[in-house]
Amino acid sequence: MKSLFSKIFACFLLTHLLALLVTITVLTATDTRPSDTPRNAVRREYSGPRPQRRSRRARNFEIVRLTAIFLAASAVAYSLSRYLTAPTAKLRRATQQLASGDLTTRVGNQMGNRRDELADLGRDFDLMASRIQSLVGAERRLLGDISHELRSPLARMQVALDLATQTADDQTRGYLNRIEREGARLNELIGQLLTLTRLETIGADTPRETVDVAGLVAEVAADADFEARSENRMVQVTQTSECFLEGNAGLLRSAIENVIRNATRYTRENTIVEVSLERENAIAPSKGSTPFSGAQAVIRVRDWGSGVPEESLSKLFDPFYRVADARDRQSGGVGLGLSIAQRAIRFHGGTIAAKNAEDGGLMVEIRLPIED
Amino acid sequence: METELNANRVLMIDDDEELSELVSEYLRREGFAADVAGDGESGTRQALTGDYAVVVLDVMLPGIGGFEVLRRIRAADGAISRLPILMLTARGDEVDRVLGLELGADDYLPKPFSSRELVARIRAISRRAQNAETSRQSPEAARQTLRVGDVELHPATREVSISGKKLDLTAAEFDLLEILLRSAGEIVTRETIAKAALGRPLSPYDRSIDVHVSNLRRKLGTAQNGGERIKAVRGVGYLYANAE
Repeated sequence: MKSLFSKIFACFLLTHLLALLVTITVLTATDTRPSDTPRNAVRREYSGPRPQRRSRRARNFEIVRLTAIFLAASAVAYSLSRYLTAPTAKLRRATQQLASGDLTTRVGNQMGNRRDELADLGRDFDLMASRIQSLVGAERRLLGDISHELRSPLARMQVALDLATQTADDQTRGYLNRIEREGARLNELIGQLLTLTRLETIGADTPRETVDVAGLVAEVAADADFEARSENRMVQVTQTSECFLEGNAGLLRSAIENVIRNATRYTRENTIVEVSLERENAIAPSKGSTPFSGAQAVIRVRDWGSGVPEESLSKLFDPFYRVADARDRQSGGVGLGLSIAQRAIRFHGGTIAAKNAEDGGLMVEIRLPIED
Repeated sequence: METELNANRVLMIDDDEELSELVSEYLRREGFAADVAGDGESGTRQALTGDYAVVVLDVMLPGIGGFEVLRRIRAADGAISRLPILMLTARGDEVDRVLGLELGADDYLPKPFSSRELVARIRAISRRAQNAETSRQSPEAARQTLRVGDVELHPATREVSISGKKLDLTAAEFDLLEILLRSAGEIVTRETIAKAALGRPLSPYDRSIDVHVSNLRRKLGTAQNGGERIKAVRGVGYLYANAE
């Protein structure tokens, strides 16, 4: 008896069962009364045995009638309960839809011609939904505008720098390169801040498709390797496995990319960042660290840097968290990559964690639920 | 003759005047002649004069936006509709890029960009467009219609049809399909595809090829046996599946 419907239905049933009981009691009382009251006794005297036959017939008739009343009343109770609770089911569906990110959800016409409190509730829901929709829409537009406004001066600065570099002497060129690098860093920061903010408001309206995880890992690793080689570092896929999942390829890509690029920043020169993808089949849920027990894709990214102090491991995924280490500042990251990765992985129902590898360096492990 | 005259003329359509000025100066130093338009309407008019080899087009413009300018140029009659267009955007939106490429922009560059990269892209798309024009005019190519399964590709007219029904492809999509059909059943590497469809080598984290492939897939539909016509080969490239 969990739903509102069954409660209301039960109330109606109980009420009319009680009513029936009362009726039956009254009827039986009138049936037995004749022998006791003198007025009826008189009547009984001259009517002979007929009344007895009649009262038996009447009793049978009463039973049929009572059953009919019972059934009819049950039907009325059922439809009344439905009538009262159906809108709440509709409201609930709409609320769930809204919560999962479909901001265009409205209850509107589904309420029919009702004029009661539930219809008012529906109208209030619609008002609330359109308000949320316009707020989120305004936020997204604002993000686009902020990006545009911040990037336009950067674009001008970049071209001006390129012009200046053409005519500069070596020493000036060095400084100009420095300015260019800082500009690039600022641009990356803008991009990552926007991505992170977008991930906060992400919902069910994000398109999903079948994603080939192995292909994604291979592509991102190849790109990162290309980029890392100019810094005398490498990225290699040491192990891979067929894995597919329903998700957003763009988000997953940015998660994996951020983790691998982070590793290439911290790994020592002339070392190889190792990336592996393993498929783990369904396991007993007793393995405490994982919240899901179905098949999983496990992506491990391991660098050969100096690792991270144990107490900082869990904070690595906080925005702008920096390990107190002078070396960290020169590494070039803006401090948002792992936060973005974490949100994107969580969106796919997965987990991401970091630990220090046994013989030095950091190991980041991503677990994603996949199709069996 | 005409192509020779305007081979180095670039039209930049961007409402950011200061940026346009700086870019024009850089382009002039690189041997281009650059003109500037500050809004979509005048930009479209100027682009359609036929005086330019390449258009650099910003997505966010006052009045009619960049996408509308792109649509109007592509909807024009004759050779002018094939004018190479490089799109710029400062919003850093994936949607902008996908939409731009889908509507037939030849390439895409996010702001801020390095001027060297801009020049390289301009050269790449104008070279690719010239190659396309040349093959259009060369008589020996005209006879070589490519036929794979139910798909027919005519390099001379740059037309593609499936079971006789004409397809509407952008220039990049056409070049992409041509190179896949030429080696149907074999893997074509991403690098080769990039050179054919974008006229330039791939840079890391650049997904333009995949955007073009997915647009092309959608336009081609599934093969007669219900399977995907263009298959991705992980980490290597793509192949056009021979239906037979």
